[in-house]
Amino acid sequence: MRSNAKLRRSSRRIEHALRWLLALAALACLGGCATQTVQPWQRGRLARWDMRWDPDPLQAAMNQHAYFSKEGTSGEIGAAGGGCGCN
Amino acid sequence: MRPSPSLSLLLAASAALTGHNVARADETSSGQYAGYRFNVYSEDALSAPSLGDPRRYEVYSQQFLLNTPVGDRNTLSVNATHEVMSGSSPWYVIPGPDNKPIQVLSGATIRDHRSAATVAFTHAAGGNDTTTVSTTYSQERDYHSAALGAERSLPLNSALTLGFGGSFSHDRIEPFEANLYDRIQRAKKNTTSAFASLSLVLDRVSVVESGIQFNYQTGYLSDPYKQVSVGDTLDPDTRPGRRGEAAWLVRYRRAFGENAALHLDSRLSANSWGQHSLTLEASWYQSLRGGWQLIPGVRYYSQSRARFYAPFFAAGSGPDFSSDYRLGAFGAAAANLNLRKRVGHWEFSAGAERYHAGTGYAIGGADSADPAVVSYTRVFAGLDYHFD
Amino acid sequence: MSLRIALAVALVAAASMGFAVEPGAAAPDFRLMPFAGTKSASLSDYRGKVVLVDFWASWCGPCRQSLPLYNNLQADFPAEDFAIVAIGLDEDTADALAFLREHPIKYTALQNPKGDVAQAFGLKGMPSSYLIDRNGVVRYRHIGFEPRDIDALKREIAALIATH
Repeated sequence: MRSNAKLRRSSRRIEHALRWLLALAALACLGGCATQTVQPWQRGRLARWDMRWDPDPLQAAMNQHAYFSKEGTSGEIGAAGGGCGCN
Repeated sequence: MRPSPSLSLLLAASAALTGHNVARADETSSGQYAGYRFNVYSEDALSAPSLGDPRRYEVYSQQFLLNTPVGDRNTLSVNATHEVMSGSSPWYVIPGPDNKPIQVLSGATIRDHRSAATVAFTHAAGGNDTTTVSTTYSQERDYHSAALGAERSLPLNSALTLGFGGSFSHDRIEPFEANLYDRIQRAKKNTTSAFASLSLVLDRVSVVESGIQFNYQTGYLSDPYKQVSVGDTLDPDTRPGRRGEAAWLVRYRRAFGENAALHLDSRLSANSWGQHSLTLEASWYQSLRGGWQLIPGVRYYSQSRARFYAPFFAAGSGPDFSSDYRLGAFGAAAANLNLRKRVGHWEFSAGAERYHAGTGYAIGGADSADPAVVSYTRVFAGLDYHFD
Repeated sequence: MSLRIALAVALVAAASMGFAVEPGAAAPDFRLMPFAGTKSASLSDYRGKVVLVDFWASWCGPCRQSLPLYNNLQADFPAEDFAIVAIGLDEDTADALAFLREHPIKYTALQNPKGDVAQAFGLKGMPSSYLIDRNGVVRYRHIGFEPRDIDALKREIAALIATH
């Protein structure tokens, strides 16, 4: 059926994109991806506010709500919340 | 009508830090604090050919957050949102001269408000092993949603942290003026989602995290307020009764000296309706003298179209069809700037975002330019109070 | 083949675990400058007393709780029997000084921005505190801090003061 061919094409495109990303990641790692052991007392910079995954949770929540309402795909690291009629 | 991702961020706010071995979640605890935000969202008027009031949505929203420790090892986080929405909305698309799509909008009479609240409770078992359970309720005149979620953050060793969790939500819609416009009277939707992530401390100044997220929806997934041109008739927006979605996310944080940090976020996603998308975000956090912080950022988004999307359809198409622009191929580029200033216990913040969408931004282009793709401007002002 | 792999994994694991001062071992001596004042202090200056050596940093959440609470701990025991030495590990001393200005402490605070004393003790987490008896031997080690830990600390200090 016509839709199956389109599905195959789009999944091949995703595969292609993923292979590119993995290659890029591997290249980046050549530059020194081996992680150094960071001692517990050396974590001062990692503990900074501006190094958090989400330094401003309220702002990030509003951003995600706006993108979620206006775009066709979503997904974040973390448990999802409830829905809304906004989308 | 998909699950709102906002919960995970409230859980981030409630992550209490007790104990040692700061693997990731190195963050010093936010402590006890309260926050307030006032947001204004304003869409650009439709510039493409249209019928009906071209002025689109305006949303005023307020957010409240209270984060407080409970005993030595727990944190409670309570968040409430209230939004007032008004403006016209895309209704259906008709073919104009040359088969160019013309968007028909509803009148600017839609005025609705939404209230939502989330309560999250985090328990730290020691050693940065935290578990969070949460519940959310959201309510509009025509839409109710209740959700439950749980997640765990578990350090595997001094450099690796594992995160995983899931949530379930049950939504009910009762469209207004159902009889007048021949809409469904009421319908339900269930959403189940799960995620897993691994974060890695790369060195003293950088961390990276990779995660996957799945969600699966069943029930009524169409938009009762939208119609579709099928041949000479207008049919209701009809989407499949189920949808699966998977996303792969990578995020990276790197400190530059004592006063700056770079944030890079990416997401690749695909769903069972045939859509896939790419999202790239970058932000720069710059601390300036006097307790100021300046945070510029950019975002790029591109999505492809759902199998059953088109601005209008020939007679006999189906069984599913929709002309909602969010199911079409388009992309968007956005730029934002935030400002923060700490004064004693208080913290002031303000920011703006300009989001410009169009079919021209989409990777792979678009077969048809959807007339309703929307651009918008957002501004906000905020106030936080840190109790300790 | 699998035995060799198992051995290799075990060796790597052992190497990564690293050295740590455990209860029963002698506490490594150190000489550090204080945050306030010009006279350096060493651990051996306290020989004959029970000493609580606490490693902290201004960016460590639980440390910000523990340091003010230790003021009360010092007051609970006679100064000739018990002393607290807090070693600050902030790489940027200005951050530590700012913290001490906001939360004044009544016991000795020394600075170790290079972190070599933490390395000598083999710290496994932040904060880490070591209770050292009158002969310079580590008797108790605590990783992490919660306010409820103060009670256990009081019991341990009292026990060490009682024994000679």
